[in-house]
Formats: sequence, C-alpha cells, structure tokens
Amino acid sequence: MRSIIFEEIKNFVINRTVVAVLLIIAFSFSFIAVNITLTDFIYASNEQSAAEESYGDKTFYKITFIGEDEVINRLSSDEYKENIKNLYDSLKTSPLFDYNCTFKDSMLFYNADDTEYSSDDFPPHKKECLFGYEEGDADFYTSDDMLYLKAVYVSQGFEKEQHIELSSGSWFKTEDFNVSSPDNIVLPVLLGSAYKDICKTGDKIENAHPAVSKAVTLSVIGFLKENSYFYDNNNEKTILNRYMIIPNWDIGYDYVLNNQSYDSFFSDTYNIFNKIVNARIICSNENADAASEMFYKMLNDNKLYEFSLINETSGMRQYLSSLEGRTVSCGIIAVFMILLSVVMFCFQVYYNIRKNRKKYGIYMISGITFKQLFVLMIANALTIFILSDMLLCILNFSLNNGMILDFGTNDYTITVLFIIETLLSLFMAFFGLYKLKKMNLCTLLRENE
Amino acid sequence: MSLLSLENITKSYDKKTLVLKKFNLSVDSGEMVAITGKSGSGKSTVLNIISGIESADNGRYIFKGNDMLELSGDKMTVFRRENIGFVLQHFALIENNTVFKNIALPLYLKHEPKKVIKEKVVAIAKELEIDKKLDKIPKQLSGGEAQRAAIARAIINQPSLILADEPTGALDEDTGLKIMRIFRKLNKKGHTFIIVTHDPGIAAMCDRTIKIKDGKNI
Repeated sequence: MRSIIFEEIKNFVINRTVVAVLLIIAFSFSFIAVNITLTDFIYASNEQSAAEESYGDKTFYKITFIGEDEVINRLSSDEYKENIKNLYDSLKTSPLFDYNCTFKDSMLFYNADDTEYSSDDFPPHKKECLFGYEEGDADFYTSDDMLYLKAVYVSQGFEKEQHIELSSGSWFKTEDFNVSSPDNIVLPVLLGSAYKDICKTGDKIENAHPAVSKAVTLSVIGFLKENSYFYDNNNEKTILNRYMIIPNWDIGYDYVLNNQSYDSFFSDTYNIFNKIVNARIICSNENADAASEMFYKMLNDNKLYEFSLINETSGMRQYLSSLEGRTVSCGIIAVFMILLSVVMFCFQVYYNIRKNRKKYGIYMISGITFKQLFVLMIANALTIFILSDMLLCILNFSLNNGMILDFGTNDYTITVLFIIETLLSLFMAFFGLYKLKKMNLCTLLRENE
Repeated sequence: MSLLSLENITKSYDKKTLVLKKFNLSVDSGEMVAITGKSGSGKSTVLNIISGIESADNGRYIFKGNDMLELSGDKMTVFRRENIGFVLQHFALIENNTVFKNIALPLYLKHEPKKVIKEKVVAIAKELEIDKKLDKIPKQLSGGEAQRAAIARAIINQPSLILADEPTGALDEDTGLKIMRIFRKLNKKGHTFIIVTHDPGIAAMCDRTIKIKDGKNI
C-alpha cells in the first residue's frame, strides 16, 4: 500500500506540478493570514481582558506634563514647592476621585559600613534578595556593592485590588504611610510568596543610606498569596511572587537634609513631584468629566499650567478598538484566502477524480478496499498540506529573520491549522469516495478508451 | 464441480430498463466459457454481477457454495481480490506505473512482503514472456504485451475465476490468437475463464458458448 501511496504522491507532484505549486502557495498564504488573524485575535483578547481587569468600569487618568528637563527642574524647584504640595494635598482629598500612586521600582540595599565592599560582604539575607532575579531579571543587578530587589511602592488601599490577598500577616496601617523623621526609620513591608522560604513574619532587614549612613529597617509584616497580581501604573500585569511591597509613604520632614545633601534613598518615592507624575486619578465613568474639570481647576489655582491629564481608559478603548478593527480586517482576508484555497482545492479534488477515474477503476478491480481508497485520498490531501506547512515555516523563518514580518505561530494557531487541514483532508477523502461510489466501475475502466 | 451459478437473475437500471431477464448460467471449475451476444444484450452486466461490481435485483448467485448477493462493501472487494481476475479490452493498465507495478498491484493491496511480490511478479512475467518489459511503462508496450501484462495482473493472486471482457477486441487477429492460446494454457493449469466476446472465432476456441439476447438465454 505504501508503494501505491508513494506512486500517487509522485504522480501528483510530477505530473501536475503547476496545480500542486499553486495549491501549496495558496494554502501557505492562507495559513499565514490565519496565523496573523489568530495571533492578533489572541493579543486583542488578552489586551481586552487585561483592560477589563485593570480598569473595570472606572475611568483612569494619568497625570503628565508638557516640556522636558527645564520644566522638571522648575516644577521641582523650591519656587513651586508649595504649589506642588498644595496640588498633592488637593488630589489626595478630592471627593470626586481617588488618588493612586502605586508603581514598580527597585529597592536598593547598601552596605551600611562600606559602600566599596563587594556583594560577598553583604549579610546573607541581603544576598538572598538576588533570589528575586533568578528568572531573567539579573540585569538589574548591575553593581558589586549594591543589591536590588524588585519592589512595588503602593498607595493606601492597595489591599482593595481584586487579585491581591495575604496568605499570612496583616495589611499596612494608615500610619505606615507616614514617616516623621529621617532617623531610625522602620518601614513595614509585605513579601511575595517566593520569599516564604527565606524570611518569616517579624524578620527585620537592615538597610542603609549610602550618603548619610542612616539606618533603615524593613520589617516583614506578612506574605502575599502565590500568584497575587495587579496592574501597575503603566497597566502592566505584575505577578507579585518575587516582589517586596512597600508603603508609598509621605514624610513629615524636609527631604533636603541639613547638610544640603539630597536624600536619594527616598527621593524616588518621597518627592511629591514624583508622586504626582507617577499617579493615577481614578473615578467612576459618570464623574470622569467633572473629575477632569476639578483637576484643571486645581492646576489653575496652583499655577501649575504645565500639567495635564491623559484619559488612559479612553486611550485604551481606542487602542482596543483599533486592535479589533485590525483583527477583523485580517480575519476577512484570511477567510477570503481560505475560501479561495478551498475552492481551488475542491476543483483539484474533482478534477483529480475525473482525470484518474480509470486508475481508480483499476484499483477497484484489483481489490482495493474503501479503507485503502480513503487512505490514498487522505495521503493526496496531506501531501498538499505538509508542503504548504513547510513553505509556511520557511516563510516565517525567513521573514522573521529579516525582521520583515513575524506572523507568530503558537499552540493555538497550530491547532487551528491542524483542524483546518484535517477537515479538508477528510472532506477530500469522503468527497472522493462518494464520487467514486456513484460511478459505475465499467465507466471508470472505459475512461479514455 | 460447479464454481458458480446464476439462477433467474434479473437486473434493471433506473427500474425501467430491464437488462437481464431471468438469466441463468452455471460454470464448472476449470471450464472456459464464452458469452456472446450483440451490443446491449447484457453480456457485460452478467460479468459485472459475477464480479460483484453490480448486484442483481432478483435471483440467486452462488459462488463456491456462498450466496454472493448477501456480500457487500469491503467483503465483496476482498472476495473479488481473492477470487476474480479481470482482463479488459483496453488492458486497463495504470499509465504512469511500470509493468512491474501494474502486475504487482493486487499484491500491494494485500500487503504482501516486497520479496514475495518480486518473486511472484518475475515468475508470472516469465511465464507470459514479458519479463524483459517489467521496467517499461504501458505506452512502451505493444498491444499484445500490454494485454499479457493485464493477464499477469489478473492471475497474480491465483484467482478461481478470470473474467475477460472482449480481451482481443483491441488486438489484431494474430495477437488475439496468441492471447487466446495463453488463456487456454492457463485454463489447462486449472484457471476458469468466462470470456465475453462478439467474435465467433474466439467463442469457438472456448469449451462452450452461452448466447444472450435482450437479457435472456437463448
């Protein structure tokens, strides 16, 4: 039987090269279109569900400002210090919206005694912070005398996020978000589930500021459940297994220290200017316009005209809508191409049976069973699909390597292609058998006589 | 000993055109029987019913004691493969395949081992004097050689019965006679033949002749 199948395939490819090549090209390009559509569809669906999870039924605004370095310098200067602080206070107390400043950053660990020491000199629990970077994030570890840990600085109410839950310990209290003195700071922290083997609730992790050598103690007050996640201020899904969660605290003292040094340890989170530009304003959809109006009134009141609001949710909606549009366009092209290929394929099946009626008649008088005939027909179809898939792979590899087009192949798209190919192969086999059964064997044998 | 018998076989197409009307036929093992009649008389339909390509509307068809009208689908196909060889007017060879592959076709379908296939094909090709043509394709053969290749394919499974539908119809007289001599030689070795022909000369070379007219025995 293998010999007969081989002959069939050889005859098809050699004697009907043009048809074979056309079919293979048609299917390859159809499959590319299907691939692109499915990849877009999966991406759009993921974005859609992420947006739904992240935004829910609320409107999110992001605060931004017009201008570059000189604007930053001016807005963060002493001249504007009071205005910025007023704006910050107004944002935090507005009844129309929630102020949220939760963002990812690194927690830097320094050796309190000597910043020139290598990482070998760090106390063991600090070195274990590297544990957090085992999964491809080692590039964060850029210096021998500093250790970095993935951290999330959170606003109050972080525990209200949908997918965050504690496995042990307790949430931050309101007072945890205020630091009244730069001396002997004790900050409560929550750890991701991956740190359970290294630390326990009540552990103290010592840190120090490199410039002023002030001690900072991080006190572990609990652990998050495995795979807790949230969407950060850039709307990126962040799984917190390997993160340290730190309150995004306010200070009750001047961050420009007596010796005029700038306390950079806290600056990223401590500086009010940073807290504004990293913040989100969250309100109900009905209050969106009023919240925006109120925000601009606050800007006017404080003469901070450089700031503005970006409506994240409407931007995301536009983006999702464009993704959807692109997916639909690709889908239409894919359907059209698949239809075109299937029409060609059906014509080929029909033509093949008509042209080879005599041969099939000979097979039948020689005692071919319907099962064998079925296998023969399937083999014919599979030849086309295997060659199409090979061309598809070559094209994907070449285009992707040339950075021209990556139409993406994943388990999902491969499954769909496999289903299409199987259905068409079965169709070809059943259609062929049906046609042959309907024909009189004598007619088949007398073909071309 | 009776190999097959058809009793009161009736066959119609579209329930209108009655092709066979209570047709009877009995063939013994080792016989060489000719069926003659004019075009459209129902000769080929008789062959189709015997081979199981078509089934009768009424009557009985017994082959080696089995009721053949009860067989269908793949059972009939396997019966055909094991018991019947076909020789047709226009040889019915696959054009792109070599003579070897054409002859070996029934063996491929039976999943015979390669070595066995080769032995059997070469032996039968030698017997029919086409062993030097095994690597040729049908287009490169003369009519006689092509028909011998078809005969080789028909008998490679050692079937009980060989059905020949106008086997000499596409050949010149001399070649036709050579083919009939081959049939006779095979017949003497025990193969049973039913030959459909409209040529009285060919019919005369058989053991007996069944005449058919308008679907009836005459």
